[in-house]
Amino acid sequence: MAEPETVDEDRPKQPGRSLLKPSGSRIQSDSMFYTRVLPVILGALAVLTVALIVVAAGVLIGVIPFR
Amino acid sequence: MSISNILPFVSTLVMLAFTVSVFRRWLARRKPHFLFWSIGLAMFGSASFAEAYFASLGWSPVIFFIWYLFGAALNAAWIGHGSLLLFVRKRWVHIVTALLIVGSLFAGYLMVSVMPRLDASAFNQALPISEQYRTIMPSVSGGASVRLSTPFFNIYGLITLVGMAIWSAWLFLRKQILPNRVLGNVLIAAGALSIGLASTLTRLGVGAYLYLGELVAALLMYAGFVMAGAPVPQPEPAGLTESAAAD
Repeated sequence: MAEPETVDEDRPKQPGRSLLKPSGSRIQSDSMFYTRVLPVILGALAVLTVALIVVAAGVLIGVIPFR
Repeated sequence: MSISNILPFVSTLVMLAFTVSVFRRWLARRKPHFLFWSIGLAMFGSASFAEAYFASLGWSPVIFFIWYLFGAALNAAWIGHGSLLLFVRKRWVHIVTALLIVGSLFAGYLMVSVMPRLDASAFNQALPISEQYRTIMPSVSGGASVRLSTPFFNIYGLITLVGMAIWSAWLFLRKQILPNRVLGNVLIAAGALSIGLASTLTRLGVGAYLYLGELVAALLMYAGFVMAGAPVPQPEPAGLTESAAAD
C-alpha cells in the first residue's frame, strides 16, 4: 500500500513524475518512424504472412505441386 | 567449403546462445511459454547443426532425421505455440498443447517409418541438404507421409509466431508505449518470416536460400527477443506486459 504523501518544506522540490519519467517508455507522437514507417512495415509483414499461408494452404489442397 | 555451407555453423552458434538465454528465462520464471520457445529454438538450432554436420562430415541418417523432423516440420509450431501460451490464457489452449505434442509424436513416428526408404547414395556433400533432400527422401506416394505434416505445423507456427508478434507490436504502437517492444516484435516477425519465406522457396524447389534465411531469422529473432525483453524503466500496464509476444 502506498504511504500518504507528506510535504517537507525544507527539502528542495522534486521534479514531477512526468519529468522523472524516462522517455524510453513512451513513443514520441511526432516520430515519423513510429507513426508512418512502422505501420507500413507491419502491414507489409502481415501481407507477406498471409501470402505464405496461402502458398502453404495451396500445397495442402494440391493446387501448388508438392515437391 | 562454400559460403553457403558456412552459414549453418554461424546459425548454430546464434541459436545456441538464443536457446540458452530463453531457457534460463524459463528456469528463473517457470512460465510455460518460455519452455515452448526454448524447445522450438532448440529444434531450430538442431536443424542448423545438422546442416553444418552434413557440410563438414557428410551423410548420417540420424542427422537427417533431426534435420527433417525438427527443422522442416516441428520447430516453427513449437515456437509459435509459446507465443500462443503467452497471449491466450484460455482452457482450450491446453487442448492445442496436447494436439501439438501428440501431432509431433505422430510426425516422429512417420519419420521413423520413412527412414529405411531413404536413398543415402543420392547425398552430395558439396550441396546444401535443402537442395537435395527431395532426391534422398521418397515422395508422399512413395511412403514419406511425414512430408504431408509439414504444411500443417508450419501454417500453425506462422500464424501464431508471426501473427502474434505483429499483433503485439501493433498494440504497443497504437498505445504509443514501449518502443523497445514494438521494435522487438517487428524484428521477431521479420525473422520468422525470413525463414518462412526461405522454407516456402525450398518447398517450391529453390533450396539455395534456406541457410541464409535461417541465419537472418536467428539473428533477427534473437535481437528482437533481447530488445523486447530489455528492462523497462518504469512500471507498465500489466495487461500489455503479459500480452507481448516477446516477454
